[in-house]
Order: sequence, then C-alpha cells, then structure tokens
Amino acid sequence: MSFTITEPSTVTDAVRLIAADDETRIVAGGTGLTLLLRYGLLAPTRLVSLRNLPSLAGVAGTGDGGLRIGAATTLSALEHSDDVAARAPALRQALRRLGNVRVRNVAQLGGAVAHGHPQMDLPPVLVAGEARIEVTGPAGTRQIPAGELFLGYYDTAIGDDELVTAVHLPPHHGVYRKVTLRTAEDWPALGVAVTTDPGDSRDGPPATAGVRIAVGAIGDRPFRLTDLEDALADTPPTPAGIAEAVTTAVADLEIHDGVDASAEYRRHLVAVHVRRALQTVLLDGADPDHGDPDHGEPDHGEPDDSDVAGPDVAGPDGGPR
Amino acid sequence: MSDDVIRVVLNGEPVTLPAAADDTLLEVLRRERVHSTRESCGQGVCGTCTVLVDGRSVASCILLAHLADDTELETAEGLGLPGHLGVVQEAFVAEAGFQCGFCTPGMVLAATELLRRNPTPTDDEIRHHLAGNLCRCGAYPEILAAVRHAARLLAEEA
Repeated sequence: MSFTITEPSTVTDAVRLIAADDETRIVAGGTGLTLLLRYGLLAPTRLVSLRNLPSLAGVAGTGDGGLRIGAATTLSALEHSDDVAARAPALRQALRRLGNVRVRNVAQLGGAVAHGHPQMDLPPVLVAGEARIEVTGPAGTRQIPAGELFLGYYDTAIGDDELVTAVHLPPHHGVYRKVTLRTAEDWPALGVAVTTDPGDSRDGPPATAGVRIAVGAIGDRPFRLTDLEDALADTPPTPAGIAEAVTTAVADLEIHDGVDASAEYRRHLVAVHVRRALQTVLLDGADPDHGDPDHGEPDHGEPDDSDVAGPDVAGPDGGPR
Repeated sequence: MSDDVIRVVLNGEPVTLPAAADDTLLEVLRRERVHSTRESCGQGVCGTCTVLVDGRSVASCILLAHLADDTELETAEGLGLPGHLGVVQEAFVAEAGFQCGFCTPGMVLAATELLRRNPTPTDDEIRHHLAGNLCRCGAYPEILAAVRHAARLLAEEA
C-alpha cells in the first residue's frame, strides 16, 4: 500500500479533496480503516485526515433537549459527557461496551457512522434514536435520517464526495443491550436499542405506543422492528403482554445465517434481548438480568451467562470464529 | 505532512522518527527498539501494543504513525526502568501482577491512564478500564490487586 496523507484545515478543503477522485479516503481515528489497509482490502492513493479540523469535535445540547455531536468527537469524550448521560442514555450504554478504551480514545463518531460495517454498536442506537446525520459535500450540507443511512455491508447513503460533519440526536429514554460471542468487549453479535421520547415517561412508565426498537449486527444493516412497534401500541404493558408480542413478531422476521451465528440462534437472541430491553424500558425500569436499572454498565467486562451460547443454542460450528 | 518522518516527544525526549505514510505507530516504535510495545492480535483487541498518546491509551497496531505526529508518547520504558521502576510498575511487582509478562507493559500503561484520571477507582472501574487488556496467563486477580496497590502507593505519595 502506498498513499499520501493530507491534513486540510477547513471543511471546504476537506470536501474538495475527497471529491477530487475515487482513490481518496477519509481517515478520522482510523481504527476501522487501518485494519482494512493492513488486510489489503483498501488501496487508496490519498488519505484525508481530519486532525486539523478541531471545530468538528464537541457535544452541544440543543433546544429540543437533544444533542448536536460533532463528527470528530471521540467515543471516549462521548462516553464521559454529562449531556450524553442525561439526554441519550442508550447511547451512553452502547459506548460503555464499545470495543475497548484504546479504541474509544481514538475512534470518532463520524467514522463510526460512515464505516458502514454491520457489526457495530452505534448504528442501532442512532436508528432507534431517530438521529439525523449531517453530511457536507460540494453542494452544501444535508441531513440523512439514520434509518435511511445504512444500506448494507460497508455501504451507506453518504456520497463519495460527502463528509459526515455532525450527528443530531433527539433526547430519549432507553437502553442498549449487547451480546458478544467471545470476550465482553468484542464486536456485537447482536445489538438491541429501545428508546422512547422522554416526555412519555414523565408520569410513570412510558406508553407502549411510541416505543422504537432497532436491532443491529444480525444482518447487513441495522433495522427497526416496525411490526413489533405497531403491535405494542395495542398491547397491555405487562410482562406477559410484551413477551407474547415479541414472540409473534420475531417469529416473522427474516433472519439469515451469519459467519458468527446461525439464523436459529440469532432469532433466539433477538427474542430474548428485545423482550428484556422492552421490559426495562416499559415496565418498572428494572434490568431483568441485573436488577439495578441505573447501574448503566451491568456486565463490567465479565461474561454474562445469559449473553453467550447456551447448551440449547450452540454457535454455527460449536466454537469461536 | 507527506514527510517521511514524525516528530514526537518520546518518553520526555523530543525525537524525529522515520515513518512512511502506511507505517503504524507500533512499527515505528519497534524500529526504534522500544521493545515494551508489542504486537499480538494486530487488531486493536488485546492491549499489548498500548501506548499513551498525549496521556490517552491507544492501540498502536491500528494507529497510523502520522496520526500521532506532533504528540507526546509514553511507553513502559518512560514509566521506569529496572532499578528505577515507577510506582505502578512497583505495584505490579509487589502483587506479582503477571506471569509471562508479555501483556504487562500494556497493563501498566492502561492502569497509569486510569489512575491519573481516577486516583481512587473501585474494583468495577478498574475492571471496566482494563477490560480490553488480555492476559493469556490469567493473572487477572493479581493484576486487579496490583492496580489497587498502585492507587494506595500513589495516595501515600501525594
């Protein structure tokens, strides 16, 4: 591999550089890109580094109670942001278990959005949270709803000549649940994000209508469980009612075998973890596994027996990838 | 920026290091005989290549060296050498927080980062911070004790 690295000092210059040719790639923290370079899966002639664009970093509260997060904000900065903790609890939960501290210290939100790998933690949170991704290109700035951004394996709706400049995230209540098959800080084999509008829970648990559910890492893109969302609108907010709605909806999902897990196992994981996430959000706020709803980071890097393959649901080849 | 070098402060000493655009920081440091920085997984997963860049731990195996241009780097050599070990290193020795030692520089650097930010971490906070530093020997209980021990030593120093 052979390339040059350019460090523009304005967004305009950065956009001009990436629009110039197809062999140019953006590098933010590079935690994803460097692997692709090392494996020979990418051979750019030029990398455009965002290091000289500090104005792209930072978290700011918005008038609707949500957040505007600069694309160059590191995941560590987000993890430790009081605004994120208060306004976007599902995002914070996902950050706490995303990769490891060395990755979070370097990786940036814009890269996590643009990378487009299916097995990432943040996409389902952004989809369930109805985030809008702000991208800037030669024609100016536009916003892409997160639900329309992720198109498939390393494929997004972001143009080749566009740069992610910010993420707008409305406020939410909610949770993120993550399943890993090897170590606790591994890539997700399943990510489940469930969110509601904060106003829905001002006087007790939120209504079952209006809950948003997104799953990631079991297909080539994150997706909403819209049939289940619709069914929940007419479902009594009880453990039995939620469990029945989940069972019915998940049985109808199109789920395929993956390199890390069979379709049967994935379906089992989705049913279990969507149900538990809904119970946490819609019922008493308790985490069915851990009891303490405000603990934030239940697993502490230790394996949770409920999150790994049990005897009835072995992995595709009975072992790790 | 397409220079063939990076200029950094390495363990307190300003240096200019040869670095091609596609070199990782790990490759640059290994060429400089910084042997505490080690490659194991090569994917940013295991922690043996940990370097502190401006005080933050990074996986040097997946960091392009030029993205660390004009920064301050710390490796285990900068924390202390035999005969003059740093406090965190002393604590790892006192608690035998290692077996083969391959992961130890990364563990010590990760613990250093944690204790600078949070001098009195709970066991949960230590576990969370070190969750991505793998010890194939399984010396985790002793490593946890070593970080607790280091926190005590640093508190006594203060």
